[in-house]
Amino acid sequence: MTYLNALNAELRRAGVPALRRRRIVTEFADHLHENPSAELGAPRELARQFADDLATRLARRAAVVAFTGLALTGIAFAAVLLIGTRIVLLPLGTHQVGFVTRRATIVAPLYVFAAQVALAAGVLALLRAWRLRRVPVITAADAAILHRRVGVALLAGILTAASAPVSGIFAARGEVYVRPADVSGICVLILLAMLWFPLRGLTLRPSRAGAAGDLRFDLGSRDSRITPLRIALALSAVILIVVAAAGLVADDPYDGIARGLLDGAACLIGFVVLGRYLGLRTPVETPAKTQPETQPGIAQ
Amino acid sequence: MKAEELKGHLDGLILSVVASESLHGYAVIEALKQRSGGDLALPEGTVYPALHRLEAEGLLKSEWSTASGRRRRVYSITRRGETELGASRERWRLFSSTIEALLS
Repeated sequence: MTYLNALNAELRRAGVPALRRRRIVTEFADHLHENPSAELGAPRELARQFADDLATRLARRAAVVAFTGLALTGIAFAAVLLIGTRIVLLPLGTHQVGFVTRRATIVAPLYVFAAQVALAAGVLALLRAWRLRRVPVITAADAAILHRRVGVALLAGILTAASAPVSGIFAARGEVYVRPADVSGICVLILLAMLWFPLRGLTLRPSRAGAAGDLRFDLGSRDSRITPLRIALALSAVILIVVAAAGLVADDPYDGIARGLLDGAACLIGFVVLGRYLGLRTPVETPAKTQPETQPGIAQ
Repeated sequence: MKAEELKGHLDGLILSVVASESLHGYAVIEALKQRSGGDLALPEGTVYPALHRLEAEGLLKSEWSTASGRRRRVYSITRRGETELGASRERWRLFSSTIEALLS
């Protein structure tokens, strides 16, 4: 096996994409042409370096892209709702306006819960990526956590967009208008496309071993008294108080308290169910990709 | 000088040699050797991951060129790279003067 063949095989094994592989091998071929006796280093070690860099960038970029996509989806829906509201307020005559009530009733709880999960997971992914922004090569565990958070955020975002109750707003024929159902469909498609990142992360993972931090790491806390559970409890309490206060302002304190209890409980349930998977509760150690020790015979 | 001692400085060294002229990978390594008077002893292949990383960070840009029928990737510094090179030089001045003061 020639050096270049060995390098190509190791790059493929490390999960380096084909286009990048071709470029690397071409560069090394040019190098060997200039100096056939050049000491380029072990192909496996070089492949690991390329893969580590790519995997680190992929994980960080996934968080930023997913958060941006979810934020834009939120803005798009907010805009559609605003347009819808304006249409309702204007005497448009031929325009048929309103939600499909039955459908909205069925999907509304799903819509509300999924939107909150998407927001929480998206923010957590961005927070972890920001914490790791200066780390040259992140650990395999951190990469796994980032991709899990991105995956959960995107899936919840897709669920939100697909079940959005705005899809029942209609406008008359022959008019130029925004069709909310189209907006919903476009958002679903965009978020689906973004799932490429966590799926790619399954095969392209850094080789660096080590544990990933928990919620304290995300928040930059080193105080041992502040545990992830206490943070979750505090957050649930804040949600309860804020929602209850909102109910009070809206002259419906009982409804506010009921919603606050539900939202606070949902936050705690989310922490219990997804906490370990999303790297909130205890440091997670994902084994780094291991490769057999034996090196194939290489002829330069 | 061993590769271990270069950790943390390789990026700055690459930026400094590419800052003066656009170079392909092999030429970058040759320039590093020449400028160090042959003291830099690192596996030549390790420069390529660094070149790719610097490009991904927007500090270098690259394009294909053809020389004697062979395709090669030629790297040049970006404006951001020049800024980073200036910062890297400043960090090195501070570091070396501190160590110099301590050792002497």
